[in-house]
Amino acid sequence: MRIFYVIDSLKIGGAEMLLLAMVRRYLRLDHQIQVAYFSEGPLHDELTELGVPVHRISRRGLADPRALFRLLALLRRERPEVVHTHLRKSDLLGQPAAAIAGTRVRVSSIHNEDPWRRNKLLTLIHRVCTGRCQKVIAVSREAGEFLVETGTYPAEKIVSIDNGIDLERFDPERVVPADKTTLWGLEPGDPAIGIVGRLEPQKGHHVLLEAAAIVVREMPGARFVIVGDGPLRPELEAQRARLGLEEHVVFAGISRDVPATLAALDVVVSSSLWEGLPLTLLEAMAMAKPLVCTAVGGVRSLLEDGRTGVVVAPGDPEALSRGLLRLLGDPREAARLGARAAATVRESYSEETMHERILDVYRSLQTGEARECV
Amino acid sequence: MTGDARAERPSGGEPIRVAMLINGYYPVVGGAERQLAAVAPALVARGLRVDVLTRRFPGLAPQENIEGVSVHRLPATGPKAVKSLTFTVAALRLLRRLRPDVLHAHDLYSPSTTALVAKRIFGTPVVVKVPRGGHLGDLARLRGRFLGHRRIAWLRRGVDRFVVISREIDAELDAAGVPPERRISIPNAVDTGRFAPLAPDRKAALRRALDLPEGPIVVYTGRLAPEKRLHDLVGIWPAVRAGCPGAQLVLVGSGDQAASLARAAGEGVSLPGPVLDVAPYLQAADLFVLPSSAEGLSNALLEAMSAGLACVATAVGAGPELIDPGENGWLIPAGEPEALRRAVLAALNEPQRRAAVGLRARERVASRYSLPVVAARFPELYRQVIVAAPGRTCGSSTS
Repeated sequence: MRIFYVIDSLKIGGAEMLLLAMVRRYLRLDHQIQVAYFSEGPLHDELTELGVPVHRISRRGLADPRALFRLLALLRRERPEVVHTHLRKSDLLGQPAAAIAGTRVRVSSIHNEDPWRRNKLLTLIHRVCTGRCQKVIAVSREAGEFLVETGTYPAEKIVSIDNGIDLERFDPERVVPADKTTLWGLEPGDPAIGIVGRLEPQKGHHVLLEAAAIVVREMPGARFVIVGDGPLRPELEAQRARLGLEEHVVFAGISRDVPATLAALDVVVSSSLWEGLPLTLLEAMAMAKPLVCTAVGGVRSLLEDGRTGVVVAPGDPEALSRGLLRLLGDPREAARLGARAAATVRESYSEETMHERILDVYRSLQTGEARECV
Repeated sequence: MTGDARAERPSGGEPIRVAMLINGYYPVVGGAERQLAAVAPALVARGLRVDVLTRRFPGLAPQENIEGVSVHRLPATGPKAVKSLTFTVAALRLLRRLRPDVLHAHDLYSPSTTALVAKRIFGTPVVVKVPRGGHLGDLARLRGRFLGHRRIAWLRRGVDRFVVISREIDAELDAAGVPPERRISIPNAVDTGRFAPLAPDRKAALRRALDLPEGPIVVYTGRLAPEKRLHDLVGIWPAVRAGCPGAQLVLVGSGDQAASLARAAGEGVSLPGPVLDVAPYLQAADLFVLPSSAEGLSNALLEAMSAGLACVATAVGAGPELIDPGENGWLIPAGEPEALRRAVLAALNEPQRRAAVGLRARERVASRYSLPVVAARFPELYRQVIVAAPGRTCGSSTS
């Protein structure tokens, strides 16, 4: 199949990494792949090394009136059988371009429950632009429901395909834990609670810090490891100082080896205020980590409270701290939750299954259209 | 968190502040980049303050904290000469603010030039690591460049300490007139925890997961570049399979020769492409081969030995320092496919000896090249050059 992906950026992010893994697999299955994008990033070289032609649509994003024509010209020249768009700008531009160019299969992936979709006008604009898209892949069932609820797409267009991860990389039996003493300055016996993700408002780090203040009152040995970096770092460091948590909270920076980092943690937290189906959560589950997560997006159907993790209300430091203390106070129960979480991921969230299901979507649309023509 | 008195400045109290200058840093990968990305957090853990000054690549943040290391990605745009100049200017502005105690450059090109200009202005002592030797090494290539000999003379005068990672590079610097007291040998490091052997049942499971066959597996990891002489390896493979039926060659990585190697690859040769983590491939394999015509101290070879793999490598770069032939690996002359074939077959057809060789390979690496062993040597080196630097109040000026 000739597949043409359109994505907003080639930076390192969830949607982008999913795309890269998909491209790798489909190349191995002998499909022909091309990628068009807006913002430059490190994945450019990775794609080029895989032999994938990459095209920059525009440096100026949607503000560039020539972007549409450039993409159209590309699609007319390359004549892909499938156009699959990822993220907002690419949906808005890629879907109409594919429809005008007459591409047979037009698919979009929705990676987040973006709060802006609650705005009726923005959603209307989005709906008009992407109206000719045939199938919308939502990264979780909740993300799909959210799209229906906000009036972005009708239910029959939406198919939920859960994110999957590379289970070989996140194998608790193989991965050697990072050395938490040299890396984070923790004592070997300190319980380490970690969060992995960019420091931006969506991830709710400020709620976690509030919760940490409550936790250390009960359990002074508890240590929080904040893995990642981002624009909120100075603000969060100031909050840490205000709460008097310098001794208890480590800003570890970006991790070069997420599996080893997860392996070194005793409990993993997600304090996100909104999410699709966060990959870092699946990765933590695969590593058999006990989890405390806020009930947002795909997390709600992924984790069963009290069986595969602890699920708490978003934006509530009190509830988050209770969840953490519950797991920290009962390591055996925590280990049981972790083991069940790992089993869940191994059963239903492998990368291979996800890729196969996405290919099925392409194939069904291809043959479906062909029948209509006869 | 420090606990290491050597991490403190000679004047006492405050931690040593070191600024690393390197062309690329994580997530940009290459041999030198990976080395620094492993060593820098280990230095932070020992209580040093580490800033990394590197070039800005599109899509990467200008400033970022990676495992406790402050990474500053400075703009470098335009044609080659302008690029170096803009980088130097941006680096000087930042160094004026950071005021490090020591500058550590990670090749002999632009990072060293920038470090020496900074030394001129701020008086900060300069340490330079020479990451590559041989006919493709830093010195050889610098000679071929514009004003190359002048630049080498300038480095010889200005650099306080050269860090060499192999005897070969040490000899090259000696020949270039660098006195022995300004050369120090500190090898590359390897994460022996991550690159560790697996139990047989785990190994079998890993093979299935990686879609690797049952028979003997020979692996290469690294760039698919001409100087690695991988076409020699692919060329002898039919003969290897004749002597050892079912032997599978797996070339892991990406590079200029990916397409030509894929075309040349016959039965029993596979190229899985670039992977995020080479450790599973090393852990699943039976033998590692490195047929390069030139190397410094190969990260790939260190990682393979650390994973307890028996290795066949050419006697280039630090190869002879790592491998005692017949004892903990096999050494062959570069550019001789026949010797390569014989060594690979000998290793494949003696499984018991191979296992013993692999075990000793891991011992060698663990004792001399593990991350804690290597990282422990830098604070002492930094103290020496800080104390010796003229214009410093904290020590005697000896030079």
